[in-house]
Amino acid sequence: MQTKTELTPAIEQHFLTLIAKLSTIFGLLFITDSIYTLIESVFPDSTWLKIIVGTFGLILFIAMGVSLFKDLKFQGKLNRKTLWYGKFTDEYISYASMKGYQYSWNVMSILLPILLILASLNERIEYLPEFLSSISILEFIKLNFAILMLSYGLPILYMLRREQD
Amino acid sequence: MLDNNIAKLRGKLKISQQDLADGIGVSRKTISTVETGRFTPSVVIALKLAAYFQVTVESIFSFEE
Repeated sequence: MQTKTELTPAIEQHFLTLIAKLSTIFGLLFITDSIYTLIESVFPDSTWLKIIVGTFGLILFIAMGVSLFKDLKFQGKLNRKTLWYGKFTDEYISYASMKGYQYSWNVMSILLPILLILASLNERIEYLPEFLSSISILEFIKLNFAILMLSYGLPILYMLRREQD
Repeated sequence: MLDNNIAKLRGKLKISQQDLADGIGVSRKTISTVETGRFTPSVVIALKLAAYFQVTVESIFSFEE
């Protein structure tokens, strides 16, 4: 007979913390990748710098894998509302999740119009530095994705930080 | 500003935030943030706290303008 384990607030907190950690690691990974590409284009001969950034990226990638597979307490216990809408039964966990969405929405809704204005101005008057104006679509998407992930993950990690009783 | 006596009431009963959280079925984080005034709980949590401490909601929470 299969026993159904109840979804507790502790499991929900564990799940949200994991999502926030993964989001932050993904964000850092994409930023590292973009910095690596930038270093390659701006300083083509700086091997030591590329090694440092590359090692950092590798460490982040390993950390992401470890976070993903370590202690999956919530496996099979989360419902569709939690997975898709970030709605939790515990009030504060739900509040932290919503704050994460709000921060990421606000950051992107400010950043993207600024970039849009800069890009349209740059078509008329070329004032952006060479490496910024020649950024590829792939790098642009990576950077935006990194900012989106970081602005979602970091506030949640801050709100769910460990505190003394 | 919403002020509360949760820490005092916990102190009387000599229970931890985790004990209280388990008692009313919320996370410890919910208790700690409500206690420090960083998070305003719903009426449901307020009533659960009142039932747990066997006091009225007004004796736990007070509103200061």
